[in-house]
Amino acid sequence: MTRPGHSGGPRRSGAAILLVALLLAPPAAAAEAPARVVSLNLCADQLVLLLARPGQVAALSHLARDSRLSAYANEAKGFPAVAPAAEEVVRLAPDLVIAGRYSLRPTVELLRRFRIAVLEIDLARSFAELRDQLLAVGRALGRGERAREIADGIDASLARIGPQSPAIAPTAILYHPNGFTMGRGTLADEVLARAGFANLAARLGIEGYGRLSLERLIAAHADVLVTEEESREAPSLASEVLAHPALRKGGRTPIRMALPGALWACASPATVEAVTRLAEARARLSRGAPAP
Amino acid sequence: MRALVLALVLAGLVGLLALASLGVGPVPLGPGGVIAGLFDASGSPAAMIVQEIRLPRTLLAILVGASLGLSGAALQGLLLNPLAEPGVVGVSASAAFGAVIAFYFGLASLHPLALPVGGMAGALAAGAALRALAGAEGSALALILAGVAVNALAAALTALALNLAPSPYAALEIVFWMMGSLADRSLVHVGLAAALMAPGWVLIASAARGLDALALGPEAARSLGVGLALLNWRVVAGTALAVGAAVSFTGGIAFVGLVVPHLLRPLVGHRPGRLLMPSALGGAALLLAADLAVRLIPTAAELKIGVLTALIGAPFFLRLILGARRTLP
Repeated sequence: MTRPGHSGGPRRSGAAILLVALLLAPPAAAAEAPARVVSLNLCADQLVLLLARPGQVAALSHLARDSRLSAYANEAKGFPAVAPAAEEVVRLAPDLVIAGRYSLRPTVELLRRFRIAVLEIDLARSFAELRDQLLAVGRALGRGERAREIADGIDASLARIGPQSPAIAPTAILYHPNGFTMGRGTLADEVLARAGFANLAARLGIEGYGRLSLERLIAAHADVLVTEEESREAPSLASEVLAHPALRKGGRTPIRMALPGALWACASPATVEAVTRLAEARARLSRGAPAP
Repeated sequence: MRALVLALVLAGLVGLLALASLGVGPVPLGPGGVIAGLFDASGSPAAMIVQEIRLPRTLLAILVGASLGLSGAALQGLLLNPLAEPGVVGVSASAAFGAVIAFYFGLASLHPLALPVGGMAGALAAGAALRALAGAEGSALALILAGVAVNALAAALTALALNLAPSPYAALEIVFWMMGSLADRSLVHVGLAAALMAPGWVLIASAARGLDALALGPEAARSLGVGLALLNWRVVAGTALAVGAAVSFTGGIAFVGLVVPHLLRPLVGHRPGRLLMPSALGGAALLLAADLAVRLIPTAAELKIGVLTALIGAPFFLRLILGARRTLP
């Protein structure tokens, strides 16, 4: 008579050993740097790419490689991508998983049952929150020094752009596919303010990420309309509205600027570039010169 | 005489609803503001809103509603079956599949006509398949079963195509192609739709006498000198043009072509040929009214118009089936 635990051949006992190892492994101690880090969240991917030693990264999310969303898509291509499913993650035997606070709840719960340490991060809605997040993830990765360097670098770049407070701030608004815009309390709100613009979406009373109809957008009349760079290879009805003639015709057409969506899909050092580009456009606008 | 009165009443209704449609939107303009905006060439925000956002929406509701009403009446006449309708029998769903292929895989960006041509190819394939599957004798059961099959296949293929499409939004846009919407379409869409629907309407209108004869039975129609093959071709091609173009720009809007001919049939003495024009006007009025309703019902995201037409149309359809059960085998 064989004992149940030994009846399944080499593959099964391999899995059993892995399971036992996972169950016995203590939760990663804060002092020790984790050796195998998995990120399940686009914004966490950006932070891990910035902070981790290359050997530390076990896998990133699929979105990390998408240049429309990820500011470090090229760097991400050097690392494996993992599907956001507990089974896939457990197979990688990570000692730290970083996930978003609001997505993948069942997956995160399941990972905790396997005694895998999970660090949850929020969506950073300001440069101050980005700094906190960099430092927190840096600490978790044992890369606190590097995190402080990057955070200080961001602060220095923002200081170079300087506070922009023109007498009359021109208005700007972000308009995304499907008519979504960024109102008060969003990262984009701060980016626009630092570039010397008044965020029209916030003035219209939109809090956070909200929808604005094409009619209201035209009636409100922004000086600058900021859109995402379009991708021609991927047509969608959602982005068709940005090509609507009502946004092109007429005597008071706003200046349009297309910025890569990856600059602010997540807060990252790349977001500083959005501030730089918008501040340049604002300066040209104040001098009365045509924008790009 | 009675036909003329009916046409005038329906045309007046379309006119009134069109005016109301120009007046409704998220930005309150008031009747004076709307009229001023309509004739203002200065490019002011009010002019942009009325001319470039509300006018295309209103015109498209008229064009698409007319196409659906007309096609419904023609299909019911051709298939000798009161349950035929582009949405119910799968013509709209197939048109949506054709349009989805053209739109999401880059053909539509190569040439503006590629999108409606895709829609029309889908509609034509469904029309031909239905004719073959349902047979010429107009068995309600065979037609509905064929429609269920065509609808299911087309919807599955559309969902598959959208899941495989490169766009991050594609999978979310399934609901547009299944339920339809007139929101934020432009005059470019209106122009293309009108240019392609018009020949479809002419083809269907040219079938009016043939449909009247066919109502007496295929044998009687043949003895009256009606070429059934030609009649069949006219209705199927006309429907493909009109519905294919409609679905390409507004998605599949169901049940308009079912409800409208039904309501109007008693008023034209049950002659399928005479039913065509009133059905087109009635379809335009119904779609305008439905589109007004989706803008007036306060929901966070605007309701898709097909949700509303299905809520009206599906119970209607059930009632028709209960009525038809007595005659079904």
